[in-house]
Amino acid sequence: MKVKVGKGKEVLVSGLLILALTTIGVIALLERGPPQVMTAPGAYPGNSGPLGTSVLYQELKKNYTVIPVTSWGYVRQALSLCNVSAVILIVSPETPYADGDLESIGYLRGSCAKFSLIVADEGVESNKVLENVGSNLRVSGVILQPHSLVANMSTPWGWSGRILLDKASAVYPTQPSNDVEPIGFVEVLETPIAYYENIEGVEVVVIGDGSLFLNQVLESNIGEYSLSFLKSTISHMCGATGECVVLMEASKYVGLDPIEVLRSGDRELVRLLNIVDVMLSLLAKILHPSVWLPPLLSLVDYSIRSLIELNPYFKGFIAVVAAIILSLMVPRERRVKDAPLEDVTEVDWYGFGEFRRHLLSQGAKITKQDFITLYNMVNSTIKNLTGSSLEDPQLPQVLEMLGINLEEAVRFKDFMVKYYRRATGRTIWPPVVLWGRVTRKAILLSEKILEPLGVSMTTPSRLELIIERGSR
Amino acid sequence: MEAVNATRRVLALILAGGLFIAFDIVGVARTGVLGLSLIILVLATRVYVTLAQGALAACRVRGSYRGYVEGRDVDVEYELCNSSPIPVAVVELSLSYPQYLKLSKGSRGGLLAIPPRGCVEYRVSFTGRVGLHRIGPIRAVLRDPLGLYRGVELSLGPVLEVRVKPFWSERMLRSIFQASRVSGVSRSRRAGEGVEFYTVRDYRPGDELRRVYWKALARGRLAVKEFESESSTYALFILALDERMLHGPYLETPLEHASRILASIAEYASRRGDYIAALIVGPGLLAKTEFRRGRRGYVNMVKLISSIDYENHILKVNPEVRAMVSDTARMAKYVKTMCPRERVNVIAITSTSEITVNVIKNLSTLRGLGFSINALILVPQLYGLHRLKPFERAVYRLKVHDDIRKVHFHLRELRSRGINAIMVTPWETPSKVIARIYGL
Repeated sequence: MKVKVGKGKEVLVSGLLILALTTIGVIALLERGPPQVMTAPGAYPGNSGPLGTSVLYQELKKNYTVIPVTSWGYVRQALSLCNVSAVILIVSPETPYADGDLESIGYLRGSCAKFSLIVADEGVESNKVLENVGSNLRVSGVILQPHSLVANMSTPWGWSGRILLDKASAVYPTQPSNDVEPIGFVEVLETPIAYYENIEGVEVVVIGDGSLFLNQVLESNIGEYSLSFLKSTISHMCGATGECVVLMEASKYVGLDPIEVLRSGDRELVRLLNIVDVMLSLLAKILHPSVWLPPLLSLVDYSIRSLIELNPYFKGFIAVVAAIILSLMVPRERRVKDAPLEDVTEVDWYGFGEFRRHLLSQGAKITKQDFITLYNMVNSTIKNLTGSSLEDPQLPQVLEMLGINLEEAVRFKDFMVKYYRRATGRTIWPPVVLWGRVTRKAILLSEKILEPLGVSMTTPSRLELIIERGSR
Repeated sequence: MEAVNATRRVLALILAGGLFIAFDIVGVARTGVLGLSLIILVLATRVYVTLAQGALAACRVRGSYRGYVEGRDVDVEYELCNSSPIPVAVVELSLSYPQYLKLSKGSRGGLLAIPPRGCVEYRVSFTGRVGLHRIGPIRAVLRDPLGLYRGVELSLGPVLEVRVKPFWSERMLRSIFQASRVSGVSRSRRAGEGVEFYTVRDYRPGDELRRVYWKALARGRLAVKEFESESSTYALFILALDERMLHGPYLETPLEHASRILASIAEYASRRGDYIAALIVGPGLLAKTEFRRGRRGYVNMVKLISSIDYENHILKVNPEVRAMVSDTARMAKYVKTMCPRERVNVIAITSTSEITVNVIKNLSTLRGLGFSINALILVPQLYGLHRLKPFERAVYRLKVHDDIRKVHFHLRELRSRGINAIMVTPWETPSKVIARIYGL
């Protein structure tokens, strides 16, 4: 719908509406508070810093469908009909797993066509997941000394080689089992650093060092060994046929606000920050109304109060400005009377409608003419039915023959003839006549005579037809 | 015009808001937040009503109806679907329909809310009245719950052209068969469809069981009764309309009475295998159907009756039609061209108006061609008489008597031209009318 804003100028949305919408939008933004552009400095797939796993994510994406899991509950819903092979990859989680997360992982274990788990962790947070899927393996969480050890790897699916470890901790089975097989040992120390386990078709690989898959390692010249190991493991777990989905843990990492990190002055943390994250965070904060609107309003408020304190007449000036704004705003609104819609009024039409309404509400005024009409109608009817008119002296006898009481017939005839003569001026007796009463009485008398003849004035009858027949 | 207009409450609210802000500024009371809230409320309401008005205007509205027989319910249904994510509330709606129709179920207006991406249905029923009626569109006005703003009135949905055909019952028809038998107008001396006994003959495969003559069967002979086929003729039904045909209570007007009489007699004629045609003459209508035999002729006639538009055909005058109808020669020629070179039985129904009676009077020239013309003059003054109290009926009869006497004059004049004219009162059934026509 177009709105006229000037001579021949029409717009679809009025300026006032745009202003109102903008104001409401700004207030809503203010209420929600500033946005938080978080960055996770740990082994988070979205972190492109040295300690992130974005390189791993990109590499795996080349061969598989990789889903960074930010909520295990959501993944459970998304894969409720899981007819694919699912490989969960957990690299150095930082926060503990909740019962809900474990329940979702357990659900995937039961519902997916094939379920496998790869844990690369030097801490103990992933032990809960291992326990949840029924694995005997655990990560000790005690960092082996010295750092930068070398591990000899040899897997049942044929991958063997040496991997340079960073911060690693030992992996151990909780109880001896034939399902568990060590696949990596630290050189010199001969400590098992990696295990393979097959629990009733669920394959689990645990390696006690998450740093193997960090960006800083994969981007270095030794990273290819770690990546090759992981790719061969996933390839083995996915099998040769069918679709395979890699669920990469992305929910168990501590998020930091880059601005807060900069403010803290912690050099170690600052070193981990991504410059793009910092810029975005800064921009979002600056643009958000919560940053500039409250100070702006405070400034305006302060300025007005200062001016009022400086000069008391300024109050009046502000009131006038407010009044002008209001007076400009109010006439813009076209005001209408809030009348309800008019509904259809259903009607019945009648001939003699006005008279009919009057008759129904107040009754009708009966005149001398009405008595004459009555006389003519009754006379015509009786003449047609009996052959005698009202003035015929033999009428009472004729009516008696038709079963009407003679006395009633005489009284009726005399009454009708007497008043008809009076009405037509043939006599002046009686001198005073109330024609309304006389006509009413005449109707009652006529009914008594006409009813035995099968005609009536007070019921839908053939009265008019009989009169018409007589008029031929 | 703006799509949304403010009511007077808005001004009051804005002024109150301004006053509260002014109090705060001047330092009388700390009411600035309250004042600002009021103004924000007004603005927010305006934004909502503007958006909801757009959603209402874009609503997909479908209309449909069921039922097409006089006296029975005609169910009208409108579905309003809001495809936008904005809830539309509160909508005041009012259904447009002719004022001479009456609702039997539902409300002619109301308030409704249409959920986002949802639909609501609005249903009403009318007691079917013969003719063509235009129902719809829905007139709708959007308001906010506080009554601060009011959208412009919108017309939603299609206009439904509801055609209602006249009612006749099997019972009515049987009485007509009886009446026609008594009058002996339709004997053919041939076996076939009818009510008059003709002969008894041996049973042949395919004969209906109900025709088996049980007395003969008791004597060991399987025989069936045969009835006399009634003779086929050409029947032309003329309905001359004027405003008086609409006088009377709902469903009991001369138009409805006439339609019922015509439909019943036409149904009877169609079963006899007569050739049927119809002609409707009104202030704004001159329409006819061609002569067709049996059912086809009946259906065409009923269609014609159910296309009578009260507004345009009866209440409005079309000068061209008026000129045509008033011209005796042209009108007679018009009727003549639609009739075959056969004896045509004309049954014309009209009210007491001068113009429509003249239409029939002018047809008397066709008698020279062997046409038999029967005129039924309905008396609109008597329709609705039974709705009065007994004594009021007598008084009413006195008052309208002079007017009814004019009918006597018309009848005399028609008869003097060789037309079988009878006066028909509202309480006469089609069979009684038939009996009276042929009893003349």
